[in-house]
Amino acid sequence: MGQPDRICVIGGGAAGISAASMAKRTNPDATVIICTEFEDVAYSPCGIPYVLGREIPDFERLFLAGPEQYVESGVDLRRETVVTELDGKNRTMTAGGETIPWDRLIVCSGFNYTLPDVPGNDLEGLTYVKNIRRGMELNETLNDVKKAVVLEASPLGVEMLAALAHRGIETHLVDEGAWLLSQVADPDIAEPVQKSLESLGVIPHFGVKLKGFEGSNGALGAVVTSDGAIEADICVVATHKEPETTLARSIGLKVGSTGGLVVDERMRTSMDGVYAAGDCVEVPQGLTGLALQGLTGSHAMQQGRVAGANAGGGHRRYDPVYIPWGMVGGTVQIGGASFGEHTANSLGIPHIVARANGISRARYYPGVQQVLVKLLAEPGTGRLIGGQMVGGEGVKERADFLSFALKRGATLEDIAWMENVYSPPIGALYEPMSVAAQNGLAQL
Amino acid sequence: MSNPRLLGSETIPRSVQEYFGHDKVSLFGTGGMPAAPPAPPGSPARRQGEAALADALSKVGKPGPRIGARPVVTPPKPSLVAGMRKRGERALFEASMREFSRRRVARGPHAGAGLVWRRVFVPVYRAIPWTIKRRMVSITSGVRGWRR
Repeated sequence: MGQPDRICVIGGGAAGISAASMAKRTNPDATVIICTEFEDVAYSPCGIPYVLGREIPDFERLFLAGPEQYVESGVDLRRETVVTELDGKNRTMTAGGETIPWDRLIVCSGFNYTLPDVPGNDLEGLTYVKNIRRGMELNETLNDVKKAVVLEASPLGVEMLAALAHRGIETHLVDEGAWLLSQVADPDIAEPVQKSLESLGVIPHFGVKLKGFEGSNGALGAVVTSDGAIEADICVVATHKEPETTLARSIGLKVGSTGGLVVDERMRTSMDGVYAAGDCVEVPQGLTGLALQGLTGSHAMQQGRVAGANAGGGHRRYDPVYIPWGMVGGTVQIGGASFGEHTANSLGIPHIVARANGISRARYYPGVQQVLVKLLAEPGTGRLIGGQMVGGEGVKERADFLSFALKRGATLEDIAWMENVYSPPIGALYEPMSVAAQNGLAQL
Repeated sequence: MSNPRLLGSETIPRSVQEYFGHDKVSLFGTGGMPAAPPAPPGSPARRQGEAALADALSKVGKPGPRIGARPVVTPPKPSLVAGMRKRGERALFEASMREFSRRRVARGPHAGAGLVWRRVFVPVYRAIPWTIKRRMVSITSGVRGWRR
């Protein structure tokens, strides 16, 4: 009988932790080592904006497990341990000054924000929401902040706009796009969110280029844009999630067209015995095969599970993605799956648009909210290619359902005749998605 | 008969009310199934959270290096394919945004794609039928080893 496998994981985020746990579960005899440069693991970074916005009362609630729980499960968790070197030939890595051999390696090195390439980008006051302890410090700093700028209306940017506005801070948005969440959402879907944020006091500046940061004594004083300077005590940088691939590239792992690591459906990289998962990889979009990177925490977690299972000797597969997404912007929920009208238009994908403005509960039931749904379908066949929705409630469930329907190749006809829950407090007689599909059938 | 423990907000533990908000755990005060809050006091997770908070608060306003204080990078120089994709996508997104903005009589995006990409690439790309573009995407995406 040979030596048990030694599986090393780089990164302690959603992908890394789930990969390590699954590797250990798949192969209990294996030695599983996680190295993370950070102090903490197993917390929800996605909850940070909501603590900053005082919708969640404290940071401690974001912690899901303590480090001793990994020790108990047999995983060797090494915190504050930076992997400085990888050797693909000898299958070793240098971490915390120690050379550690590995039989299988799982790279879950995550992302960094793209540094704005403008003067003053090193000033104090440029703020990044990612690490929980730095979030805790920011929470204290915000007590003295009067004016803030959020750079880019990405999902995190939108969450931070609401959080800062909740804190009574004069909050500006600077974005080169023409509307909120323009990388993913259609303008008519994003509009209610934008209005909701404006009602909280957010001041958006769309179609505006960042020119630089100005300040004195090393501290930020203003964000300079193509439309002039905006006074600011802090600027939250919510730019593109750039995959962290420095170490992976050092051993020759193949990088794809997004800058993320190329993996196959078993999360194997271009090097035998090396897997990768999470924000550092790219995976294909289900309809087009287009490589995508920088998805959500749930994608990272599932990819990590697949990578961990396969590194442990299992045989799991990760499917191409349809990317259900959703969030709350201000007081409005927004979400969708796959392509919206703007993204389909951008890529030149032929489509028809089916719309409906429905309701979330029976019209007479207290708390009923509008739900605007748009479905996109292939002309002729009616096969769904995506959809988006905005409303007061029920967006997440619809986005999840839509994503699954897309994966199964559903058509407008299928959705038009779908069954739906009808119960006055939780669902209307007519499901808005079904009504949208019925409206769309007329266009086929 | 309904479980009386689930009726009325007074039976919902205070910690749960604080965490979820009263109106979300008991729909108009008539029901709900409160879930236990994560990381209850005394748990390993809560202890880790409290230690993290104490450490972070001890550093507030003090100079010095911090782990994860600057998670930001200048992206590495992209390959030819990656660079083309980035510029091409940007030009196509901008063109689409301009069209939507015209319809809404709203301000368009900042024009950052570059003249050649805007004036040459976008019209040429749009003139190609989707069936051909789809094949081009499939060939150039670099995605291999996936079940379709």
